[in-house]
Amino acid sequence: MALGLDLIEALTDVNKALGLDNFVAVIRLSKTSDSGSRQA
Amino acid sequence: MKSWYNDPNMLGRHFLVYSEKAPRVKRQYTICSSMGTEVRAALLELARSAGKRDIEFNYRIMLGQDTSSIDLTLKTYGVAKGLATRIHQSQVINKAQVGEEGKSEFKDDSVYFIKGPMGRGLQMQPSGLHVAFCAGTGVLVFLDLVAHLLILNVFNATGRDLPEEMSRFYQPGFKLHLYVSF
Repeated sequence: MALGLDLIEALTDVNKALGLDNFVAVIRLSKTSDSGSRQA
Repeated sequence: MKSWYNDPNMLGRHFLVYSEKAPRVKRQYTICSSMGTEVRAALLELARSAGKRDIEFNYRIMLGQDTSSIDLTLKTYGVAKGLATRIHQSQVINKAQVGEEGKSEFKDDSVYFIKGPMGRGLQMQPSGLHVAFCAGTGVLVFLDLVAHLLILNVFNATGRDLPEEMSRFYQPGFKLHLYVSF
């Protein structure tokens, strides 16, 4: 797993659950050919 | 040194590490408490508790006690003579993982100096949009800020008191947009 990605996704999930918008992560995973970039 | 910093002004600062035998070879290690074993586990547990009445959190990590040991996060690129390669392949790590005695290629009597904290850090403002671009291990510079926001959001949602340094610094309107590639 990418370094620290679990923590980034954890905050994204927390904000989604709490309805907060003070964090946006745009993640690009270079090793997955079909993923491109995604906004969490 | 501490295993965790509540002070937002410490985020992004670094320590210099060098040995007594080769003082000219210096390496910079950015503070990233969130990758420490105990801190990381506590943060992920806190995230899982979000939205629940009783949150699970190891408050001990936030006491800011000095520590005599440090966690280093090193990515190995497999370079034959690279330091990270040597460390990843060394008996020191194998010994820690399997609990067996092993012969270390890193001598215990080597003296290392750790100097810091140094640098200006992230130089954030108390409110407003902060945008960060990073790749690979560069994300380590911003992970403690992600951790601060996690604590800030969960504690505020459940009416818990934040550490003084955090509650004094972060004001409504503080936002982070993190662009990261791995």
